[in-house]
Amino acid sequence: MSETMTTSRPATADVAERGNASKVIDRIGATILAIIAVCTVLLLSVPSLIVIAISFTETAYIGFPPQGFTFQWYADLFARDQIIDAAVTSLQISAATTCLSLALAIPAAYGLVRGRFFGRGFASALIVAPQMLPGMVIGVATLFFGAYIAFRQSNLMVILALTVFCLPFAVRMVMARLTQLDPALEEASLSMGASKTRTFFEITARQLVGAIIAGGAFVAIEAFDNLTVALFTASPRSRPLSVELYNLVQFDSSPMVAALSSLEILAAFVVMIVLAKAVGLDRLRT
Amino acid sequence: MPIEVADINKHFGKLHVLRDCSLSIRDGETITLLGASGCGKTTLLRCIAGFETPSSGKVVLGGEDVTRLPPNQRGVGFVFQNYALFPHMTVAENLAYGLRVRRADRSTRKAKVEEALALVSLTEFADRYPQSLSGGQQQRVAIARALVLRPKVLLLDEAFNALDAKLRVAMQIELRKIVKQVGITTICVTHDQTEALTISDRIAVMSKGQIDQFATPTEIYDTPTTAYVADFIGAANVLPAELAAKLPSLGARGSREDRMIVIRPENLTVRPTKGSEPLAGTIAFARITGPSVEYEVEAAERKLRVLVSRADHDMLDIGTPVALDVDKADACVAVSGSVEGSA
Repeated sequence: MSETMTTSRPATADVAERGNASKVIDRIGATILAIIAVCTVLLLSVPSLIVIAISFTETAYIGFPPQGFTFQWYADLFARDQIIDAAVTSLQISAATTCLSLALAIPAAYGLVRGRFFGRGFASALIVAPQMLPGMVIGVATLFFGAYIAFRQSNLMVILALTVFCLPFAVRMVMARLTQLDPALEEASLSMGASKTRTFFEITARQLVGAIIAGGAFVAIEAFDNLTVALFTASPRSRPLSVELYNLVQFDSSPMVAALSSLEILAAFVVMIVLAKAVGLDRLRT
Repeated sequence: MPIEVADINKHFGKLHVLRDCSLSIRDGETITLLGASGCGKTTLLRCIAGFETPSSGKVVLGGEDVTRLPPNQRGVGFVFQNYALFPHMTVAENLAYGLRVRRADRSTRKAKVEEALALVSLTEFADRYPQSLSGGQQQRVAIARALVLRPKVLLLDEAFNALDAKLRVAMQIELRKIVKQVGITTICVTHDQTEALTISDRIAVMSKGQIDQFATPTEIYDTPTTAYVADFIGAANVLPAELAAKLPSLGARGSREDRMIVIRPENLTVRPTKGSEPLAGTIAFARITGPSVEYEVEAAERKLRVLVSRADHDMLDIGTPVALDVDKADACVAVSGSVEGSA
C-alpha cells in the first residue's frame, strides 16, 4: 500500500488489505480440503481397483503389479461347482433376509413413528440396538442360543441372525421417511372416509416406496456378503459365498479370489447405480 | 347440520388444553374459533373432526353423538393448514379419492370432480400434480377436495395462513360465497381477527383453553365480555374502573373494584389544555392513517390510543399537553379480568 493511499483513504485500504488476506486463507483452506478429499477417495477406491487389476494377472499367485492379461481365473471360478453353489446359497439367503427384514421393518417403523404407547422410546432403542453390536457377537449369540433349543447351524439360522443384524438399517430408513411425512396426509384420507388400512396402502405406503427400495437394497447387499454373522451360523455343508471366499483365501492364494471379489464389487456397483436411477441418490442416505 | 359441542375437556399428559368448551352452532352457520397460538382452538377443531378424542364432554353432529366415532365415519370435510394434498396423485385424482372410497362409479366421479373443479375455477389444472401449483391454487384444490364429497360440516384449520394478504382476502370472500351457496355448516380456526370478521356469522374467542365469548362480530367488537376479547379484536384501551371514572363524560361505571373499562380509540377525544384536568397527558406519538389521526397519549403512566377524524380536528404536535375525554359514553363497556397475558 502506498503512503498517499493509506493517508487519503485509510479505511478503504485497510479493508482491501484484510480482504486479500482472508481470500488467501480461504484459498489455502480450500486446497487443503481438496487434498484431503482426494486422499479419502483414493483410500476408499484403490484397494478395490487393485483387487480388480490382480484378477486379470497371468501369474498363479496373488501379486501386484499384475502381469499379462487373462480371463482364466474367471473361467476357473465358473467351473467350480462349490463356488456356484455358494453363490446360489448366498442369493437365497439375501432374498429371504430382505423379505423378512422389510416385512418386519415397515410395520415396526410405522408403529414407532405414528404410535403413541407406553415404552415407545424403549422399543425404538431395542430394535435399533443390534446395529451397535459387532456381527460376530450376533453370530455367536445366535449359535449359543440355538444350541439351547436344538436349533442347528443352517441357512435358516443365517437368515434369522442376519435379519436381526440388518433390521435396524431397514427400520431406520423407513422411520426417516415416515418422520418427514406430514401426518395430515393420513388424516386427510381418514376425513374423506377411508379406513386406516386403505389409508396405509393408498397414501402412506406410496410415500414410503423410495425408502423401502433403498432399505431393501442395503439389506440385500449386506446379507449377500456378510461374513461375521454367517461364519458362526452357516452349516458347513451349505456355505454362503462369503464363508467360501474366506476359506479360499486361507488355503489358496490363487487370483481366483480376486476374480470373485471383482465380481462382487461389480454386482454392488450395479445395484447402487440401478437404485440411484430408480429412487435418487439423496434418498439413499440414512 | 347443527353442531353441538358440550363441556369438552382435553388433557395432553399434564397439560389441560381445553377447559369446558361448549358451542352451539346452527345449521348452515359459519363460525370462527379465534385466539392466539396455543389457546386450544386447533385441538377443539380436531376433536370435532375426530382426530383427537376429548377427555370428557360430547360432540353432537346433527343430533348424533359422534364423540367416540373415528374420523372416517363422521362425514366431516377438513381443510388442513398445509392442505395435505396427496403428492402422488394429480389434482383430479386427489378430488376423486373420497369418491372412490365411497364406491362412486367412474362416470359419477368424473362429473363430480369436474363440477368441483369448476367451482374453484381450476378446470384446466385437473391433470397437474399438486407440487406444480401455487399456494393459492393448492388451497383451492384442498377446498374442492373437501367440498366434492358434499359434507354437511366443513372444518378449516388456518387454511388461509400460507397465502399472501391480497390472495387471502379474495379466497376468504370466495369461500364464504361457496359455503353459503352450498349451505354447509362451517367452522374455521384462525388467529387473524380480520379473517374472522370477514368470514364468520359468529366468532368464538378463545384463550387458555376456554371460550371467552361466542357472539356475532358486531357484538364481540361493541360489547366484549372480557378484557382479553376487547384487546384481541380491534384496538382497545382497557382501564381500571377508578381511572376511567376520571373521564368527565363517562363518570363512575362498574363500581366494583375488579372491573375494567374498555374504551375503543375512536371513542376517546383529546383537546389541548393548559390548566389542570381530571385526566391529562401528553401526545407521545402521532400517525396519519388516511382520514384519521392516531395519537399515542401518555397519561397516568399508561399509553392510550386515540383515533380522531382529521375533518374536524387540527393535528397536535408531539409533546402537547392534552385533556382526555370520551365522546360516546354508551360505547364504553365494563368487563371483568385484566389484560395481563393477552396477545
